[in-house]
Amino acid sequence: MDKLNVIDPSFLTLSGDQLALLGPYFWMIGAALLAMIVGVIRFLPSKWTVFAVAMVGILGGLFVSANQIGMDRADLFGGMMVADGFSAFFNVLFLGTAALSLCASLKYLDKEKLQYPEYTILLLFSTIGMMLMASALDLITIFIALEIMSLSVYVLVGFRRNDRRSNEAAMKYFILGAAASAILLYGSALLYGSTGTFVITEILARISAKGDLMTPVFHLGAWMVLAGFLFKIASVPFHMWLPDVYEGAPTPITGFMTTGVKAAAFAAFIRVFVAFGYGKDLTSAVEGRLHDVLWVLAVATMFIGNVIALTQTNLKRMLAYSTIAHTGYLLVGMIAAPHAESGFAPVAMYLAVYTVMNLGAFAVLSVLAGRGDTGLNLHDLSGLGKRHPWLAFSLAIFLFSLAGIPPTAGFASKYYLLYSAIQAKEVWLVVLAVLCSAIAVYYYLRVLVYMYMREPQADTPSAKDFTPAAAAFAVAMMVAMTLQIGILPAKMMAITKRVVAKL
Amino acid sequence: MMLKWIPLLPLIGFTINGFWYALIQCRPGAKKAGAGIPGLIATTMIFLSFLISLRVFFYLKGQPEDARLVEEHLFSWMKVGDFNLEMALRIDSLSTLFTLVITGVGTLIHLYSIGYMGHDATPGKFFAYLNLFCFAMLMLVMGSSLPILFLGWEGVGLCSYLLIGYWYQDTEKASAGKKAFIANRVGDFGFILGMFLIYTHFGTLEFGKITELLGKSEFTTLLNPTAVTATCLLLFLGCTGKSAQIPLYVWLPDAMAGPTPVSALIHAATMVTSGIYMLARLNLLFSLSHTAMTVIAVIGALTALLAATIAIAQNDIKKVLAYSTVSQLGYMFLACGVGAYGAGVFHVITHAFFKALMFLGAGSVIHGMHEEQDIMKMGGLKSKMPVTFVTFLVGWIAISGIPPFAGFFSKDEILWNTFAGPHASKFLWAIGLFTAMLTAFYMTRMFYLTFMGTPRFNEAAMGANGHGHHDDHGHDHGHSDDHGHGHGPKGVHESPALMTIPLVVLAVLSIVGGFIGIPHHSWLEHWLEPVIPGHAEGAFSVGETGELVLMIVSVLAAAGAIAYAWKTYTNLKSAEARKKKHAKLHEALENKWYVDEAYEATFIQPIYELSVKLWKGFDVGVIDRIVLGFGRVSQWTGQAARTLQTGSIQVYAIMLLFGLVMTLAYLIKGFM
Amino acid sequence: MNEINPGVEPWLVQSFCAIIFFIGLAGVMMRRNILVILMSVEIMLNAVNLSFVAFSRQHADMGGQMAVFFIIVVAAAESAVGLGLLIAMFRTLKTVDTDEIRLLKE
Repeated sequence: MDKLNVIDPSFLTLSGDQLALLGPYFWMIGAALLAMIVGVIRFLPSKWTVFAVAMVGILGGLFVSANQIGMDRADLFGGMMVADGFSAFFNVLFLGTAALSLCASLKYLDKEKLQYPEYTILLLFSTIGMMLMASALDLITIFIALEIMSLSVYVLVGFRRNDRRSNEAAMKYFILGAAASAILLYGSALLYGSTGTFVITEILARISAKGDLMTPVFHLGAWMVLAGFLFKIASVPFHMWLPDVYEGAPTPITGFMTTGVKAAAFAAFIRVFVAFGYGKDLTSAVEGRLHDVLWVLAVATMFIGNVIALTQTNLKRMLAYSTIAHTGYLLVGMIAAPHAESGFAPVAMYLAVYTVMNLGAFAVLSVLAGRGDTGLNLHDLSGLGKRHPWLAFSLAIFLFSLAGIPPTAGFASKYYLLYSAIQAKEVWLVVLAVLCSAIAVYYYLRVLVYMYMREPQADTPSAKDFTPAAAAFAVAMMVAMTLQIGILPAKMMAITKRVVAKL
Repeated sequence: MMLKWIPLLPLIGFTINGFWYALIQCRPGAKKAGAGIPGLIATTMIFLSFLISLRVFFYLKGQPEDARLVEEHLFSWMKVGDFNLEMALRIDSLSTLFTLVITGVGTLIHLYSIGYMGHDATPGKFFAYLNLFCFAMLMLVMGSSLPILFLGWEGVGLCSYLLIGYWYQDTEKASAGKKAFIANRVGDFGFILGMFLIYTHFGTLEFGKITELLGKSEFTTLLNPTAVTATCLLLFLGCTGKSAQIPLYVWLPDAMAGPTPVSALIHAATMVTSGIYMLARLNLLFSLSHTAMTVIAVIGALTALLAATIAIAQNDIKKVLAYSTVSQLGYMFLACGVGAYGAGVFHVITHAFFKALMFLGAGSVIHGMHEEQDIMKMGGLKSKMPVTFVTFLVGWIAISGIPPFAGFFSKDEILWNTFAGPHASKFLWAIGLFTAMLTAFYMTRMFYLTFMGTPRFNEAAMGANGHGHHDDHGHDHGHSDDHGHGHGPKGVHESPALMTIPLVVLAVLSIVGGFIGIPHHSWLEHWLEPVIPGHAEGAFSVGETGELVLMIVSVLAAAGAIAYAWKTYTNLKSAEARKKKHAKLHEALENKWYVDEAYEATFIQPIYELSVKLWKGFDVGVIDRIVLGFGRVSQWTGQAARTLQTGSIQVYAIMLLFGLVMTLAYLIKGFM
Repeated sequence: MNEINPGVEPWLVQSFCAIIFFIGLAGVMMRRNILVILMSVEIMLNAVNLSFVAFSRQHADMGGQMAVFFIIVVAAAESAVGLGLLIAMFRTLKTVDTDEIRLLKE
């Protein structure tokens, strides 16, 4: 064998700076491992200690990540990972999601008699996987991170192991997810084969230098990788798993999935999208086609999501379809990003805002759910305004935000997104997006009608008389954030602009 | 510097009082609270604002002339593409005067209100609204850009609505509030369009930049004159709404349905002067359009005349003052219309003093007369309410324009500029002079009928049991009456110190306030020069002697009118006879020239009918059908698409592959 | 490369991998027994492994072979999770036939 690429020793050394940049990971991994140990010590009340350990880890990581947002880009592990503003921003997002989900699930697990430390530990591992996804620059790292995140989530979806629906949901998610990951992996293989490197920035460099590297094999591989991501974000036609899985999973996990997993997938999607040189006029023929394909997918996603949501009476399923619709809007942002002045900033902001609103909605639902996630149909919510005025108000704010009504954050972020789409001259997309938003208002506000204008039913299954403190705190924080970003969006816009500038 | 505290303190007062009201008072069974604590909180806040405004004023005074500007940038509100809206405050020589007036007179009125609203059921709400109003007004004058000004503009409109309709249980009063808001809104539509035009032509909405651009002649010569005129007229439309000029003045007399301190604060001293502030602020822009200036001057003069004529025939003490306010505002616009923006501002300040004084005095009278507001049923209060009498006297003399009281200097400045200034018009001067005579006349009439002569009411009938007549001045029915004089002396009495002290202070200001603008030694004009450029030398067509002659003429005219009125009303019977002689004219005047009825017939009824037609015919018939049709189609599509979700993993996997292959095929085809 | 070690033509290996991959994919789509579906997923992953190795050889870059190690580990973990979920599901649903697991639909 003549010269083979041996492992570069620099991969194995980490300078002090780089260690500091890995701070969030250390916090989280430490917390997860410690939680595993603490969870089995018998004489400690596992519920609170594990929760405390997890929260300490998350908050520590959050603090460190928040500091990192303004920092310059630094490559870690010889180019396999990166720590820049973009990954720091998403880290903050993921850690926040984890913290809020934990708060919302505390009492929920008691209700379901599922108070096992494994829940928290899996949540932590999943978050670690998400964080890794946002920072990964290497196709294999992306795959590994994707799997870490997904495997934990598969188990969490099936956490209610005596419930058939939960099992079924987990199985469906697992099978389809595994298939999609395999497709993504094969795509990576083809990409590796055509360009000779894994690192996505390297890929971009090589195809910019040598245009004829973009063989059909390259495009096949690139598209398969993108398809893997599209599966995770539930774009049409890869969305079929989402409603079933969301409906069957325990409610806080649904909240966690719809926000964290999707945001992670988008983060990696954005990086990969940029790396494949789309939007840089490398091969305009294919690019035009890619644009068309994404266009059709975005429109289809928006429509299908919204239109089917109209027919749903189960709130979880309805929100699941609305998730699909929001993916559609995000895809609009993705299409517009290469040609718009603000780049991917509106997408990042939309993801952040979307996280807050969806988590809030699902947190409220977790509180309201009866045993086994019953009691989440529309007519079960009748008269919520009278029974739990503050919960109803919070849910109302989140629904307004999801519908995109000022002065909530949902409106600000949607406006920013559509504005960048107009800048990219995607007028038809904007028109269709607005039409779909209008359709969406119906099913969001229908909930409001039931909450405030119907009388409470006598047979509503166990609505709690009080709201658990942790969940209440989480919900309150999210309401505050929704309103604050809605009224003063400038700061968030500035932050996102900064973090995507150096992608 | 602490600029942001000036509006922030009243906002905090609003929050405290508002929360206390909402959370505590609104609970069923809460006991009625006194006006002391909320009043104290509110007054303290506005007083502190006044102190800070004073400090800012002295700071500016210490600066060299071209550096008299303090700016404070708070945060960036909205940044969309090229449009950047910053929340920033700025005080220069013009706005510092306004902040002093707002906070100073405001403090006095807050103090007064503690006494006046002493027995009201919901003082917390009242003081919360008052503070909110002060916040909005301060934002208006301190804003560094048109949108911030507009924020304050709308805010004062809102508070005006809330406070006019404060006793909302009475439908009439609630309607008055609505009328105010709607009239304001019509004006605001003009204001917004004006703002758009400014943005289009100037590219910015910030005052600093606008003034800078207007100072450059190479910029102004390139501006389209029609656009400039249109902008000015649209902005002026906003002023007619807010500052009660023709055609949108109709809300102000009705606004007297609110509590008297509200009338004093909002409709005498502050809100109605926002229009003048805006004109003064953008004076360079308005000076560019001769047409617009003429329109403003003419409307100002006509309004002054119209309102003065109506005031002659009013019997409600507050209505007289209301029309008087409209008339004086007309003077201020007349001043701006002939280019004497400084004179307009001067009149704003002096008017704030004596009009607030008279409103508060009227409130004191109403309070003492147990809700009686009809001057025909008053009389002889001189001995019964001495402090009110003296202070009201001062106000009366001030507004009639007798030197050396405040009103003389400012009114004279206006008349002088109208006669001899650069954009003079002798015709408008004549109107102005005639109106001054009418002003003196109806003020004297009101003063005489209220305070002099013999009482025309039955004093014994007032007191613990009855409340005389309350035509327009009801309260929440039942419990809250702020003059339940089970305690205190029976009959008519002087108001408590909390109410009379502000009267005295304002009286003093009405006496000495004019001295800031003595002709040819006008401190005020000099002070305003950075914002309002002074007149060039030789701009006046008449020399100094001419000026003196005009001054004497106006004083004599006013004195003559006073004497005539005095004589007329000393002998009431002959006054009645004269009234009968001109019965038709009098009736027209009393009914405000039937303007409201005309509006109703020409605008409101037809619009209403058109609305009903559009609603039934078009909205329900056509649009609803289309929209519901969309809804049905969406629902149907939803149901159809739903069936795809069969629940079978196989199907899902097939869809996955199908999607993948189709998209792939399309992509690769492009490459082949 | 091919001069020193003639080996197999790259495109042949790749086509082979592709075929195996699609066999696995077909298995996921068409088999009813979940255990078999899991096996098909494994087949897909292993096809990818082979592809990586072949490409690594083609580019003379160890990276591909390193990737294979990672993928094997991940595949193992995935199997573990999958089988765990399968057993949990079997306990409650008493079946591993996909046609009968259709509680969640529409």
